[in-house]
Amino acid sequence: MDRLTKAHQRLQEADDLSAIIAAAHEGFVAALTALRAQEDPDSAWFGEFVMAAASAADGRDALLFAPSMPAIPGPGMTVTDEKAAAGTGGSVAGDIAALCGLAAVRLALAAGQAADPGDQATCGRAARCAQRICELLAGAGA
Amino acid sequence: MSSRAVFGDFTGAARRQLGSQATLRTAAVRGGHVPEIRHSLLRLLLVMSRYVQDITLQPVRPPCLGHPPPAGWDRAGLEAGEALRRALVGLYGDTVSRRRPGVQAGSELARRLDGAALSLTYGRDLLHTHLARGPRGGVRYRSEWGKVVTSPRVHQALLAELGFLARQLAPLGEDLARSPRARGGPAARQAVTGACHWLQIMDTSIRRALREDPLPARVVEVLRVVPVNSPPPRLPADPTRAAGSLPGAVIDAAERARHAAWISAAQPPWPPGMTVSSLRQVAAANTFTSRHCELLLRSLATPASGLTGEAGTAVPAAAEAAGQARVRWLGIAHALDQITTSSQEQFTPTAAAAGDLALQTGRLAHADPGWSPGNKPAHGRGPMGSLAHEPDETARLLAAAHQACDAMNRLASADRRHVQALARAGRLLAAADPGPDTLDMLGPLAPAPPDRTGALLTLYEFTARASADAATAISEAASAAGMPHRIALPEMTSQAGDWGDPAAEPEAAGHLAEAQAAYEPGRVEQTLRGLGITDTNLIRRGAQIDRATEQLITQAAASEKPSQADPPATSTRTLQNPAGRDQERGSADPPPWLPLATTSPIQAEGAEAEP
Repeated sequence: MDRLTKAHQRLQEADDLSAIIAAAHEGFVAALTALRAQEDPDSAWFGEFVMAAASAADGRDALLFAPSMPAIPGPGMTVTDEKAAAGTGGSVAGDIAALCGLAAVRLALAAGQAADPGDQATCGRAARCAQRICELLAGAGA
Repeated sequence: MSSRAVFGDFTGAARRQLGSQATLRTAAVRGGHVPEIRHSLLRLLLVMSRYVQDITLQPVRPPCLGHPPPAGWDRAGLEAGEALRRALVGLYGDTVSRRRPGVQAGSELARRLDGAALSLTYGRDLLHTHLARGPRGGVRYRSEWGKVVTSPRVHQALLAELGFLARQLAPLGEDLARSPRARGGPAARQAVTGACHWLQIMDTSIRRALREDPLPARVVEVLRVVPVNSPPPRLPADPTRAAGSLPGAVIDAAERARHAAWISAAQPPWPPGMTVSSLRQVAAANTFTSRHCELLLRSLATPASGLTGEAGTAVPAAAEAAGQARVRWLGIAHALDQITTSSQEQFTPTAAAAGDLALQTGRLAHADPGWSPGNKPAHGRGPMGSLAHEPDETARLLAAAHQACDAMNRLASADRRHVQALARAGRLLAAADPGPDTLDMLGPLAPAPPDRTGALLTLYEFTARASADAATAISEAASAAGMPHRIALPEMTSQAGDWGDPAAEPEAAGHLAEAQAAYEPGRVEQTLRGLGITDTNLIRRGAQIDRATEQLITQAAASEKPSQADPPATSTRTLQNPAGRDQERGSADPPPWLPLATTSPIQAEGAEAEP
């Protein structure tokens, strides 16, 4: 299982605010790592990947400052020996778009339900970053 | 190519409104109310004198013990100012002939003078949009063009332009004096004639400076293309827009990006919205932009573009340079993955402008007005360069790529300053103990250590240089292809040689050829100057004597029957080829009996255009 798939699964299974934030953070890191690994100037996805990577880093950073972000990484979050992503540019773009689509929804809901204004703001900001990545990679698999 | 007004629009309009010398002389012969003409001339000379005041704001030291007298352009500026001052003194004082604002002049000549005065006023206003007065009275730049419009070389080009107008106007006094249809008292006629004598001196002085220290064509072009200090508006996306408009859209986007970079530099320590998100957006967008430029240039390097010889190797080299810029920008994007700031997401105007530049260059590279990131190029018609079959199209594409790379250079420099300011303020954060190969940024965040900041600043410096190198390479490719192109923004240097550019706009070369028409002072004036006499009154009298001599000779020659070899004389010849103008041409110029339309593009332009 590659990192993108694992992050997608964790995000689906997250059941409270802290878990959603931690899983979304891991999702952004996985997306960023996969995007950087796939940067090929001759690929039709090159520009989109570079732009999406900027948004992935922004999303990650937003969650770093969320009050409910766990101080200590949870199990499985620091694994670095697995592949970032498997497949070609188009299929990786599709995987990232799916992951970020899920993150956008879960983070937007979390922003609406969070009690702490800090969590509301950071989750909202991260949701917009995820949405931007989805828009950039929207053509994947089409 | 850009939609913005440029200074040349107004000087061109002033020239057209005055018309060619022949047109102007015809208007003078038609006569009119001389006090009214006097007032119109006063208005025009007032504007001209304000220009001269602007460019001689730094007073030239008057000759005194231990200091050599001003020479060359400095002297020309002083003499032009003095000549205009004296001309104005003679023209002032006629309150009766003043018209209310909005009331059109009665005579054609006065209308032409009024039109030229208005155009020059607008032109001066345009130049002043780049400048402001500081609290201590010094000049403050309001845009990147501020440095250009205050440079000595551009001042000289402006003086040359004023000299051209002075030359156009100088014969008016005598023409009006001879016109039987001119109405008005002797005082008004005398005032106009006197002013025209001073204009003659002004022209003489400026052309002497031109001869001693010629202006490269590029300087004239630079003055002509100074734009109004207002970035072109961003037009909404329109997929139905013609592909031919795409290079112009890139140039406008590049202008906006440069403007945003300039404004951000003028702001205090760090702009409030400056965050790592803005830095990332600029880096990512410019990676995209340089990729687009590279694609565009590579598509131009195909045999279909018809670029051969030196250009055939210069265009691929330019593509390579754009590729290097892309590598550099991507390097910054990677470095920013491991840096953050305590606030994010807000985008500065530079970030928005960089994003727009990426969008516009993408549309151009893919020849698709509806292209956007995420909208794959299957919708396009293929690389734009492969569609360029005419030299004009290729020139426009090169100009667009050149401007985009130049804008990226400015953005890199602007963001370098931002990084520096953020680091100084301790707002640039990094993970205190980052694990290997991880981008999670988990763990305590601390201000980025100096070595990290230093490395990032060095990356920006290299990237600015790579972007500038790409712009230069594209400019060289355009020169190699013999394509006229406009520089995005000239770098001001003190070395005159740096301004030379064989591929400067042909229009500028035409203007210059006209302005630099070899001037030989008459014998009396030459003798006076040779004696070291600088008294403008004496020089003026010398020039008058020379002019009278020339007139006598020309009239005598005109009364003789032309030989068989000469073209037949026409009644317009006298008007088109007035006394005194022939001697001002170089020895290689056509003989005086040739119609003027064959000699000067500027005069031809003026003759055709009627206001």
